[in-house]
Amino acid sequence: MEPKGYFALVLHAHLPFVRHPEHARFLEEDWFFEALTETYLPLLDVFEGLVRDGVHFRTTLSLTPPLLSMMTDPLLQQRYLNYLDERLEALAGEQRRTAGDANYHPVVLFYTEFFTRLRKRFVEQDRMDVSQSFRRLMESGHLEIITCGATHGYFPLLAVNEESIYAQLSMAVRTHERILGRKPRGIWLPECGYKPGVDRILKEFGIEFFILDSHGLLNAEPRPRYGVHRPIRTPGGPAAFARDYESSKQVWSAEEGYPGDHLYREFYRDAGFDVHQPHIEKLRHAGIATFTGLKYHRITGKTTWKEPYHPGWARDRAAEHAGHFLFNRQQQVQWLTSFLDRPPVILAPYDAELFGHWWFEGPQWIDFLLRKMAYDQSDVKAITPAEYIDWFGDLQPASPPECSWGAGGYHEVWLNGANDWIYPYLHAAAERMSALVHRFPDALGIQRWALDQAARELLLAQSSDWAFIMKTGTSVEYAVRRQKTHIHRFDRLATMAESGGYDEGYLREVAARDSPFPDMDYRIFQTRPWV
Amino acid sequence: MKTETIETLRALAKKLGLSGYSKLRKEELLKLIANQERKAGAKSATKSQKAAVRTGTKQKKPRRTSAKSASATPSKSSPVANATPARQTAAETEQQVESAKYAFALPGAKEPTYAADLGEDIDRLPVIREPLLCLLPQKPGVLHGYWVLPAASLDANRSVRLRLATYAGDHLAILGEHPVPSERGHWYFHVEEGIELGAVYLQLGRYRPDGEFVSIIQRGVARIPNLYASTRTDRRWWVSDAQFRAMYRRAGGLERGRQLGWPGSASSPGGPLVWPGNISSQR
Repeated sequence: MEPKGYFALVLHAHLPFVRHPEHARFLEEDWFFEALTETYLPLLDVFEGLVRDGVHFRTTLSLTPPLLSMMTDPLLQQRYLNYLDERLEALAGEQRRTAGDANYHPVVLFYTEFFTRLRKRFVEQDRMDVSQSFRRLMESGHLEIITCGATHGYFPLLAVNEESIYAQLSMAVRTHERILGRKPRGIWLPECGYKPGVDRILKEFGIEFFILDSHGLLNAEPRPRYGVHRPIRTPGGPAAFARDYESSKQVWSAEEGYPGDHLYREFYRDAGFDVHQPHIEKLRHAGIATFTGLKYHRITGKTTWKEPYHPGWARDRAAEHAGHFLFNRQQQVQWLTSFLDRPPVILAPYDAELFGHWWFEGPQWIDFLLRKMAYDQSDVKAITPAEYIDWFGDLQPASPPECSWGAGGYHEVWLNGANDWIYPYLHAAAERMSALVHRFPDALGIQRWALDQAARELLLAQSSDWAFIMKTGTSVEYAVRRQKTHIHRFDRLATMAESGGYDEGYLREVAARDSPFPDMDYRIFQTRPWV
Repeated sequence: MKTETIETLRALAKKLGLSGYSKLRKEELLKLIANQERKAGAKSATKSQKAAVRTGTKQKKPRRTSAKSASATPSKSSPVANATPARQTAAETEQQVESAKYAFALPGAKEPTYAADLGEDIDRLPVIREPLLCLLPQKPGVLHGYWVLPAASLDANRSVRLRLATYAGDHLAILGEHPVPSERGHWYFHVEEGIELGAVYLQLGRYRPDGEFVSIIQRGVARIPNLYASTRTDRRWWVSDAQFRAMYRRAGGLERGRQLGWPGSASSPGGPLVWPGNISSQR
């Protein structure tokens, strides 16, 4: 039986490129290790389990080029193994500490089993490179992997220099193809940041669809016949899908959202702050108490008193929440099909790291949701945006307005009193880089090396994460430092190329640190695809 | 908060454990809730939590002035933030969750500092050599302009000015003007809704004694982001007004009279963009 409508789950997985070989341990590298532990590996477990059990499912995942670069980096792979081993060692200490404690010992055993299992799969199954496990799921047709900007540069504010948009896309498409073996059919625009004209550039790269926040479609010109429930055909050619607000709200909303349930794991209580014993203090960075990932409490309620975490209860709750979510999607599809003449799609995009890292039970919720969707009903079927346009390609032409999915719906998160100082530097650097491309169209040898590294530094400086962190106030010092460091390095390398005076020692040092995109070609900074 | 319906405010009052709220008028209810939040705020331990309350209760204040205090606070378990969910939009929650990716410790913890790596002078950025003038849209109603001029290029009387202009028929209409006191700077222009703003230009120049403006650098074109749903429907893809409105509302949009708009615009600074009263939203 044909379903009444379709459901497209889209997960946006991204972290900025953080890799510091100049330090033996580096706090901010933990962002990636935490996301691997709580989100990427558990998601792989979920998807592989679904494949093994023969469950029909489709999910779309954006793996951004910085994330793919970190997943395939041997230094970070080795450091992640150390991260797991450090935790297993600390957990041995925790087992001794909590022996005989009926409340906390079971939670410690749960984590011991959790980290042991992850370590085993990371070494034996993923062979330390999780990108290839995602690739296998893509090749079997279950996952649609889409790309993003090369360093998650925020297009609407970089578009002053069109070369920057081409560079972000050229390097993204190259990296996607190099690591995953295919050209991407779709893109997650960084922060869903869209500016009219970007659609035309995407078309030049063969990109067939992208995703906007709801108002990107709702306020399109002319009125979209199907609201956010079918994509539109943009003037440049690619299809634009939009986020469904209702399904987003059920997961995100502080009021009705699932992740705040009292049985779920509490994010902010962590053994790193609660336990003052040498085996836990060993996990500290430069003596600072930080998250260890060993979180023993459930949310409990609006109190500072927290009860011990009970994985079984939380799992049951995740199943209930998945059922609730699915029921609401069925209702929604029934309402939509009462007046729409084509099958609607409900597209629900989320930050992948919401599932697992913030909402620990999130991957289980996805597991239950996809299983229930396959077996418990026939109103809604899982689909990817690519499949949708293959099957129902007759799309209404309309032009979306400039927009993003950030707070406020436009560019304020990335352009405000906390971060507006960065734009003169970014724009001046982009102008300088494209002038260098014109001046040296066929650089060779050390000149080529300097220009390639300059292009890397500029891409890293364009990462929207630094502006975002400056605005939201978590790890600001690090973000400011990274932003300024890349501006400095770009300036020095560009000066070398302009003057012809090269410092090989410096080049070697910088290249060892800022190492993403081994296939870099500085000519990406021009107004045509360079892939 | 003022845009919430009386039912939402009552539910919030109930959640906050208040009593005697059911007979209050909207203004009284707002006051009561604000008082309760202030009390809760005073009890909260960290500065950032207080900042979240402040930001939330003064929604009409231009956001950029409170940029550093916005929603980085954990609300998952914090009693203060949990008590005030109605204020937090889905986008703000998302922003908070996204920033949790970069959390390394509890809010307020001191970040480690690292020594300069390859001799970069972090406190002093390289000099920008080419003159720059740029106009960027920030959100509906607000445009950001910045300029960078060569060192010591401004004359002593500082007569250089920055103008935001648009073509209105056959003449140039000035939307905003600002002195240029130094070689580097930026300005947020607040532009009114309602003018047909296809494109706006930013000019940097000076007035001649006869009143004529001589532009030294001119930059455009910034388009004002779209606030409202289109009123045009396509013949082939015709949609009835009622159906479109129903979908728009369910998708989190707002309506006032015949206009449909996005809530992201409802609290924008710049006055006219805030829809007074009668905002209905199916939340």
